[in-house]
Amino acid sequence: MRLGRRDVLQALGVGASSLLLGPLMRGLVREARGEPMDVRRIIFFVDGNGWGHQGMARDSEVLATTVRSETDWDLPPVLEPLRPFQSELTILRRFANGAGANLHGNGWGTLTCVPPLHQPMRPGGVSIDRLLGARRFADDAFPSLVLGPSTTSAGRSVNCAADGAGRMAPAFASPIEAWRTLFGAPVQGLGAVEGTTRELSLIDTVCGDVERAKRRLGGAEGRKLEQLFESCRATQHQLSKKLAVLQSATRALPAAPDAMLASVSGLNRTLLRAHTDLAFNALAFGLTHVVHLSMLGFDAHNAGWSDLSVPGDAHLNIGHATGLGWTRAQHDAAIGTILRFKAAELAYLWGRLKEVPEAGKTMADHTLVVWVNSGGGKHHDGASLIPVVLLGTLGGRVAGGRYRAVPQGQRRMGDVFTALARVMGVPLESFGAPEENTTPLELG
Amino acid sequence: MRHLILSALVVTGCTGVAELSTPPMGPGDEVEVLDPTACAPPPARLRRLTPLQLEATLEAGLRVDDGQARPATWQPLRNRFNTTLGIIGALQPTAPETDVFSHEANVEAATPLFFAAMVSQSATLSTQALGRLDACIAAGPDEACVARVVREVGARLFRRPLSDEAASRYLEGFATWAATMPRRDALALTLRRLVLAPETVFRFEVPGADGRLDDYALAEWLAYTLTDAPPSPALTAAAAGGRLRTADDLAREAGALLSSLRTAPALERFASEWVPYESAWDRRGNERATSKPQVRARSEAAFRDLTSSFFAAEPEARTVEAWLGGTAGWVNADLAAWYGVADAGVTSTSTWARVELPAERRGALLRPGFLVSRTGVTSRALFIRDRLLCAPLPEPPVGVNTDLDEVTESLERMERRQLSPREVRELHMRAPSCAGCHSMMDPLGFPLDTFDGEGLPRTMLDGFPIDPSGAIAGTVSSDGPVANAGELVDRLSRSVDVQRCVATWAFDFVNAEHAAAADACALSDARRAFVASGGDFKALWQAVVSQPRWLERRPEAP
Repeated sequence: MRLGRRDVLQALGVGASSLLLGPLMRGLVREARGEPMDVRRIIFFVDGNGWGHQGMARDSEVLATTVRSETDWDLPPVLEPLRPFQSELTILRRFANGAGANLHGNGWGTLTCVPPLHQPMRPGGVSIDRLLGARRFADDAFPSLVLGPSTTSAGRSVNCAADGAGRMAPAFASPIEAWRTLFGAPVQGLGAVEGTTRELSLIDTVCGDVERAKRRLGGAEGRKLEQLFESCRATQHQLSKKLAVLQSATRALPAAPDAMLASVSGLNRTLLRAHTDLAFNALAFGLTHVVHLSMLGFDAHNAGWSDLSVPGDAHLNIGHATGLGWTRAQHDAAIGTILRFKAAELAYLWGRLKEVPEAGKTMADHTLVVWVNSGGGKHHDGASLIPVVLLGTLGGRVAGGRYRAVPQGQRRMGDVFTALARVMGVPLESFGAPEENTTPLELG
Repeated sequence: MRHLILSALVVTGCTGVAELSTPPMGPGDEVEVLDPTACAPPPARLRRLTPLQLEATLEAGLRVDDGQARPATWQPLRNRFNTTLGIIGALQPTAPETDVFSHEANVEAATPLFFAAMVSQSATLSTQALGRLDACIAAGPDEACVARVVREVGARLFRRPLSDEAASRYLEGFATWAATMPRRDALALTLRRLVLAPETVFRFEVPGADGRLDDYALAEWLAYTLTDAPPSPALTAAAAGGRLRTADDLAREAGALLSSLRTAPALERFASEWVPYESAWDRRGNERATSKPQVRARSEAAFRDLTSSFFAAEPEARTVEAWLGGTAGWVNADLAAWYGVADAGVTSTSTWARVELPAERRGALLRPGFLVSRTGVTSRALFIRDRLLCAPLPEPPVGVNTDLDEVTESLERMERRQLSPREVRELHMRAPSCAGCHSMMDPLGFPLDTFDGEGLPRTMLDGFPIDPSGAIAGTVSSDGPVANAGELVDRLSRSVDVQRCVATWAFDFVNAEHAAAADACALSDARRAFVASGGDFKALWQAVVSQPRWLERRPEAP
């Protein structure tokens, strides 16, 4: 589809409620000029504690269904909320990830395909979301963005994102803080543009102070100041990009999440929805192209799903199937309730992406969702046969409507992530530890 | 391994030849170190403040606190992750991986994650600070007010007076901002700039042309080492007055600090990092008793008894013998009931009392803080070898089968109740590939097997009576058989090997990095002083921090 200048202007006027922002507008202008559009986004929707409870997580019956052929299959009941999008779904089953095989803390292995470091537990390598952000979207305000609530104590990561060995990635556990960073003013009482302008002025000055201090010291010790300087410059870059987005926004920025969420934690539907909305808005306003939305992507020891009327805590009672004296049927019902909720949340997010026109299609057409689970390792029987749900075709790069269960033990999660990197335009040969790779999966 | 190598260097006169087969040193007979390079001052360093140190620094610098008086006595259950400023909670997930002590130098310094957290916190802190710093701010700060605030806050945050050049720079920055925004807002930005400055975030242990640290750098070195906080006004005054230039000055100021509660946070951290509390899961994913909330709460409380309460609350009565063999302990209501201590005078889990415990609970090793955190024969023995005797054993060689049952080929017989767990382990110890290490550690752990994973005494295991006898091996002065757990802790509590080892850990803590060959003289002096004091912790800290070597730094190699 080619758009003319008139079409663009018309879209801006008529569709002001649906046309969100400057970056999209610039995209339309680019297309109007005949320049190719190549927008690709990816959302990692990361879950914890295995797809089911202990025993059930082994290639979980959760995703078992009648499969007549790779393209002719019944939707697994827990994915019912995604039925309108079945043609865009890809179900992948029985991929193994030895890097996440041991402990809960190996949650990092989920997206790194590298065993974590021990004592204290730290990631063993870069996670796929952070790698894609750094390789392809380094110029974004947030090359990749990690959102999701925390229920674990301080000192422990709440998600599976990592910037490298021993380096946990920054994440927003509070939607209020995330909103302030993405769309608000760093200091209360100021407008977003004015506040961000001031913040940028502060960081500019601080970077100058660090640069001055750098001159005092060379060698290995001086490199510590160099690191501070680089960190400062990264913040400077983030703020300047954010400012550009704010200044070019053609409609109102999203409102701040309800202040009451400051006192809410854990598996709370309102809180999770706030994160989901932030994920959508961050993508829609062009602040990022890679979102890691952690639905308790670690172990959630202290959290429960009472908000869904499911008793017990997510880890021991549900993840381990202990303590409540439930029958298998009762456990299945609880797991089903939780997974259907997550599927519904994903359907909500996908629906929002479909509402936004982009290059003659919608944002959803240029987006891929990857629903994975940290599994909890062998501790939850969740490391050897891992299911992955993909949603979206990424402009035809992913076939969609496929159900692919590979022979047990033959394929690794590195194959999946390498394939995802390739469809995102990052040409990897493999991802993570060599033993977590065979050959990249064909997704097209 | 870190201490094995250093012991060998000291023993061999710092020839640089590390003989790992050399046994640990004898009782107090530190050898004369001949190699002059072994007596060098520590290297110049740039040290990023830890979250705990930043919290204290910002609290003091910005005069922001919760408005409540600090407790007159140490509170063993202080929650570090929920402190007033939120700095620790905000930064804790960014703490880098370290070997033992969280302030060690060779760590990642200022990652984007760290910087982002600091930027975020600085906004909150500056807002809070504006209301507390100076009455002149409320009225709309004039030039004199701003200049005073910048100089005073800058001096507190940087731990030294601002130079005129620096003060001018900050005031010019204020003026630029004030041209486009209200003066109070401009001052808030200026405060944030001070918070985020390298001089706040880092300590510059960099010598002058004469190789010495200046007085202010010495003051902050001493303060952060012993208190995890910036220098007190008194210590700053000593630096300003030129009264912090000799080893005697360091000893005087250290003595004052060690007689106060100011050292509590740092010493608590030393203890909890030297004797770390293990998590609810072991490395293989096996669940420990601490995954049960009640057991965990009790063992964590008991852990504080053997770390923070002991090291932080009783500055005048801290000896190795009291720690490993004494009956004094701190209990809350839960622990008092569990120990069976009547009339402890505590009614909740948050109130604490010092009590005398039964003799069978004497010392750190016979209490749940240790016994629940480390539940197996091997893990308990490994701890004693590593942390109390400085005689750690290496990891099993690659390819060695560490599966006890497979190695002993005894699983089937054990399942038929033909072999006791002790007999299985003794079989294991005789296996050629296992004997080298397990003969050095399992006998050390056997006596403690009379306590289960929840720290409760037991006499039977898997249907067999427990043989509590064991032995200490591979030390210089402490080797020999022990009949039971009581004998084991009594022997260790009076062991010179233990005193020398504890001195080594304390030295590492002060040195803020692994002791190396260049530290051999100082380490030897520290061990000698500790042994001479009869294992008195206050004497140890004072001896270590008042060594003349700390007055200087050796320039970093280009």
